[in-house]
Amino acid sequence: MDLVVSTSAVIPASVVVPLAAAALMVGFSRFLPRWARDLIAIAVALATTALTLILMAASAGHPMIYWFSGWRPSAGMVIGIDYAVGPLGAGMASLAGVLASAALVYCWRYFDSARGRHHALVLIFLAASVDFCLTGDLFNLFVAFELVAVTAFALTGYNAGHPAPLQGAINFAVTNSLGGMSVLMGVGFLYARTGSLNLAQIGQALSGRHPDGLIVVAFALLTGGFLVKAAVVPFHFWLPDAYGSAPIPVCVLFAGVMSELGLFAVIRVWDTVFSGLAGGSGPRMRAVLLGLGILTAVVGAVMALAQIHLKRMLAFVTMSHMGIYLIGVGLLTPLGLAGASLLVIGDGLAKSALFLGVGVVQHQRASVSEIKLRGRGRGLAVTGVTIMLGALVLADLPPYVSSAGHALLVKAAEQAGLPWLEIVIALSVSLSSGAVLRAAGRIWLGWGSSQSPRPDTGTADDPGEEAKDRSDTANSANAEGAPGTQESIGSTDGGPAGADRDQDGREWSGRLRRVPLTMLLPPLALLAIGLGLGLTSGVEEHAAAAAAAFSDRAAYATAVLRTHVGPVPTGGRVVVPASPAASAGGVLTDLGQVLAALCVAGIALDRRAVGLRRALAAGTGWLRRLHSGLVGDQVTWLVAGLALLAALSEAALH
Amino acid sequence: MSVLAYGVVAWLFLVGIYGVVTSRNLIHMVVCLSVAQSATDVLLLEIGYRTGGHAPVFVSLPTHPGPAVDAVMQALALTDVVVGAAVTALLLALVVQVHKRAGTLDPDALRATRD
Repeated sequence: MDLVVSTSAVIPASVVVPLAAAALMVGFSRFLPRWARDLIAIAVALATTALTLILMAASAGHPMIYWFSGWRPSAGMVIGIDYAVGPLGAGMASLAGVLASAALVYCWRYFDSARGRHHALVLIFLAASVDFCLTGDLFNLFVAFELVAVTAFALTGYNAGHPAPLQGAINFAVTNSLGGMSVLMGVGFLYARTGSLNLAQIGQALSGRHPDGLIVVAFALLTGGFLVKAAVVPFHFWLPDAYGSAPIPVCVLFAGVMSELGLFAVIRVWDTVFSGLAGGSGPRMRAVLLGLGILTAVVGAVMALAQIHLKRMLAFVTMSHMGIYLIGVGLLTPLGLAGASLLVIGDGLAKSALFLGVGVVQHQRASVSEIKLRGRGRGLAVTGVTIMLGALVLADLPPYVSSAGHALLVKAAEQAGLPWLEIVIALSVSLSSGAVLRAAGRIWLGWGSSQSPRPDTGTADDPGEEAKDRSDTANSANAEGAPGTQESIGSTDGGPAGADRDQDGREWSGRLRRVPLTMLLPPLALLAIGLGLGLTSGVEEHAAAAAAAFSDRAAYATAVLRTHVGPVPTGGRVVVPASPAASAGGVLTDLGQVLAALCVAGIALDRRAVGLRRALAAGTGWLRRLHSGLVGDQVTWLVAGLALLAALSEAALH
Repeated sequence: MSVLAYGVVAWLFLVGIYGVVTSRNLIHMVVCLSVAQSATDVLLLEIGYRTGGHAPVFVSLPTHPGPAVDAVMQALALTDVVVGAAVTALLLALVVQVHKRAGTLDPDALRATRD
């Protein structure tokens, strides 16, 4: 009881703390020296992480409901707005906190002129993400969705010295605003049908009902809007433009948290609202979601392999992972959701480490082109190891936490009678990890040719390659702008390299300054967290229990709609039997994936396989040309995708 | 009334999207996005509308004022207006920056500057 009372103040605090800190930072940062702004922002992000971790621990076993201003439901009728905290949502929120902390530490030496506004935007982003994960109210979900989106647009175009990030931000803003409108219309239709905005109450109103046209349309609009954020084919076209041009610390937040929030919302709304509809729509809806997931996973992996621009490559890797998570989520079983959650944590940490590593390379070598960087990794050994480890971990190298998630996902697929999903996952994971390994091999080992693998097709999908390099140079030039004004932190020899950077790429090794520790350590720390989680015993059981509690619609509704105060009864919770952690078969599968990824990288780097690469490049040319980077095309795809989703939902729900 | 309102919603949304898709000027595109956005506001107001309902103000009224329109939907529409204003302002700021850096407002030409 003590725990319940004390943690009920933690629930709103986890959103209020970063939000209030952001407001204060905008107002008062001009009176603070730079180191104080950085320290305060990092401390707030860490505090938010701690609060959400407390919530995750406290809500294990029973959901925690918090009613704003104490407006509890009366006689089963919801009149207030609630937070419904479960371990899964709180865990997602704490992942956001960890990544925001890492990004802010990294910013210490990355930007020269972060006048509090950047930090404030990151903190608002964090607050909105936490809000998104905890809320039990559909309209509040929309507001958090938009708040995440608006801060993300601003962060993408932040400090842009070149049109490329601005264009990325505009494409991102236009497509995601349309996604937001779609969500809002869905909210409106659901309210029109049920008269409520509370997820639990809507779920009760729809429970056992046969879906009519309005409910189908509401489902398609809501899910479609969330899938825009999750960058699922065909809603994904904005993602490479935004992630490929945003500043590195921002990419960390995007790839690790933002896309995943889209899928989180899809499954939250399905589990609390639509899963209770009569008509046994589960299996058909599973087919729809799995289809979208497989398409996204494969398209993302193939496109990642076709990139030579490192940030765009990681963007497509992110997209491919979203497909894999959608496969896990789309199984619509607690075990699949548990597997996807662990993968989200593990891959999120690893992708962030990769982005941060690429940021170090960009900072030191003023390029993010795999071809131009060939053999120029000497002197950046720590970063090289980070990137290679990150790439191997993306292929689910045990005992990293992704490996546990992969094992759960495969088990869920087998239980659902779809064991062939394992092959799809293995294929896309090896392709996307292989792409990163290929880049690492070329940069740090000097393997492969220094020619673009597809001279015939030019850079059809990479129009901004040169331009982005220039903008990156401008960015790093900014970063070097004021080294003297900063408190030196361990590297007394001044700012990062680049004042004397040799643009020809010769003689670069001897004259480089040390990479600041604040840029080297965060990626390693993120990988260490993932490794630590993977070594923790029982992490799979915890994830399975959290996912089971998350998926239990009846228990959720009971917890939210009860009127009396006091701890929630824990009855009705599905207990998933403990699985033999990381069984021998699972380890072998994971090692097979790692081996396959290494083979992909090896083939991609082998000079003799140039014919094969040409053929592949020609075969995927049409796919790359689809990613034109024109916002008009992207919106056309979005509308077509919404129409397709509506048709599929009609078939699945009716 | 009802059919007309939904017709307006569909028209505004589609015409706004058409404008975004075919736009050759970023400012025009941002305005088209706001047009599409206004469709959602009309939709919310229509969902909350009751024929003959009075404004949802519940102080100093006669004892039987009759039905009121739904205040919740009006609050939603108001919030959406705020969100829309934030998005439009941010997009226009980005467009100003684009014009400064690239000297063009045409999305196609902007793409060409990146080649």
